[in-house]
Amino acid sequence: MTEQELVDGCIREDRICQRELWNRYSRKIMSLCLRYCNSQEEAEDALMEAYVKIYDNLSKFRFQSSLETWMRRVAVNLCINKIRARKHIWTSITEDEYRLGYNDDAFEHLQVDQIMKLVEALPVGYRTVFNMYAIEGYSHKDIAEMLGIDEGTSRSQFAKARKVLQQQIHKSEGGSQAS
Amino acid sequence: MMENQRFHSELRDKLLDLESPFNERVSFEAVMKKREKKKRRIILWIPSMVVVAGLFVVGGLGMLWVNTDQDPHKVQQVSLSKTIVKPKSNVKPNPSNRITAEAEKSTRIGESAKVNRPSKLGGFTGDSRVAVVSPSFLEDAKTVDQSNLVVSAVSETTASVQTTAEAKAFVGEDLLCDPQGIETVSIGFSDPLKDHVEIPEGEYEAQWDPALLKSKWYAEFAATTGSSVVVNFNEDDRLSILGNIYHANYHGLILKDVGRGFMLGAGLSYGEMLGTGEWRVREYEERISIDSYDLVVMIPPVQTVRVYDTTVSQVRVETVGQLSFRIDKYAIPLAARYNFMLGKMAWRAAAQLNPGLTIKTAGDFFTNTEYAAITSQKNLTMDVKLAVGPTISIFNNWFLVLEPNLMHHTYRNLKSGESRGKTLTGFGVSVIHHF
Repeated sequence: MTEQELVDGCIREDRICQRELWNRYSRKIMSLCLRYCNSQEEAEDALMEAYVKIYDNLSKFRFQSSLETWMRRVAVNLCINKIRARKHIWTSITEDEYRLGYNDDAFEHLQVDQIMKLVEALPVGYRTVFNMYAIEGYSHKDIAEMLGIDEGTSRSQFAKARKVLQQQIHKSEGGSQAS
Repeated sequence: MMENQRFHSELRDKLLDLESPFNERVSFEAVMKKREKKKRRIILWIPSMVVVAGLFVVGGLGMLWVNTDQDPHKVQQVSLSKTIVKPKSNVKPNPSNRITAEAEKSTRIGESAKVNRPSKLGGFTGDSRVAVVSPSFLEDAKTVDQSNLVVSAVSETTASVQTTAEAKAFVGEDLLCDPQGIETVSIGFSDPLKDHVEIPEGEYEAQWDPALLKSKWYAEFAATTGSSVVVNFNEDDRLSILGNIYHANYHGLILKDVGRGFMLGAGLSYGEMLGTGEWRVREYEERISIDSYDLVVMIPPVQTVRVYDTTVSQVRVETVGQLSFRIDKYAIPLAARYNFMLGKMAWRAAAQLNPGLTIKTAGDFFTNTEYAAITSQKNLTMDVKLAVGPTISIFNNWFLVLEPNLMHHTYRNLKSGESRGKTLTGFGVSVIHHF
């Protein structure tokens, strides 16, 4: 079933198409939700809510991107709304601190599952910006608009997230070498 | 430079393609269920919001009306710009004067009636006229925003005679308005003769014209419902009844405002009282059971002896049956009403006595512990109703009273002299029209 057929079917409220949409993308969206949410339960709730939104708004999908990208965007927006509702306090760092930069090579030695676990363990602010910037590919400007924060705050959150991640990787590497 | 600090594309793709499992509670069916629930919520939410918004608007308009009428601002003056002439110094102003205008200029005023009665005006006597100011004229005057303003005018035949003008606005006067504003009872049922209008400085107070007084008569139409649950769980009672009694009462009344917020009236009412239930009788019966068996005595000569064992036991026997009754009646209600203010809300307390006759009866009337057949079709009835509720203005001269109420119904069999009754509580709605 092509994306077009799938979307048309879902708009017609065709249960087979709707189920196919669920089967095809629900696990990927769940993975996305897990990266943004604090717990498995919260992520599952976000997944269901995201799908309700997707089914309700599929008629607005204009095929300007892939269906998956559109669905991811819906889910990200939903997760961000949840985060914003929690009134998270964002902390910022100085530009110099940000410019220090960190080496991504450390990530190369890790499995995706390990990276996921490390990302999930990040504090909410770091995690959200890291997910949006490093994984979803949003710009800091977009992130700032979506999260209602300064662009500088977004940058600093990302820098801190990387720093924490690298520290965690080094820790785990050190631990494995010692053993 | 900074924007390039993203993840490695390979890692990123891996993360994006990563699939994570979820619990069993998360399923396609659960999502669909959630979606249906959301849709249902929207369907219910929209009409309920419309109803709530409507209630707010009606309530708001009612409160606005009440507040506007109770504002202690000065009554607006009709300024008959070209027709008003300041009093000459040799003529004393008389507070009993009404609007006066030069006769020839009163053509702008649509004369509705002429009253050929003498009226005093600064020592002179002339023809009195009751005139209605046309709305267009009022627009010209730019001082009055109400179109059905009534003014009285007295014109002098002599042009040089002093003329004064006074306008009295009765527009939209309603029963929730107390112009005095300081009476304990202040929703407009007080004696209108006592009312006063704040007279602006330099103007002359107008006398009340009885023809302009508001009517003291009201009509009320009401529907009252109520119910009572009849229940008896006392195991010691031989008879216990479980049931419900309902009533619906409709009446029309003519009420008269007797002042100080009280209204008295009478009318006609029709009522229905229905009951359905179940009776249960618990009785204890003594039951005797006799067992017998044969005993063989092996001592020669061998004999067989039949032994009887008698047991007496008490058994509770329950008998149940259905109950229902219906009483239809007409009555002539005698009503007393008391209107009062609580904060900015008008309230009404109602007491009503409904002496009447049944026109149709059927079945068995019941209370918690007894029931009896209604043997006669013609019974005297006497119902007493007590209610208190807020009064809401719905249109000009139309009011709605929401009345939680308590109503005691009784009937008396004319032949046996037996009386039975029951108190029911419920809710009623009254619509009042002010004539």
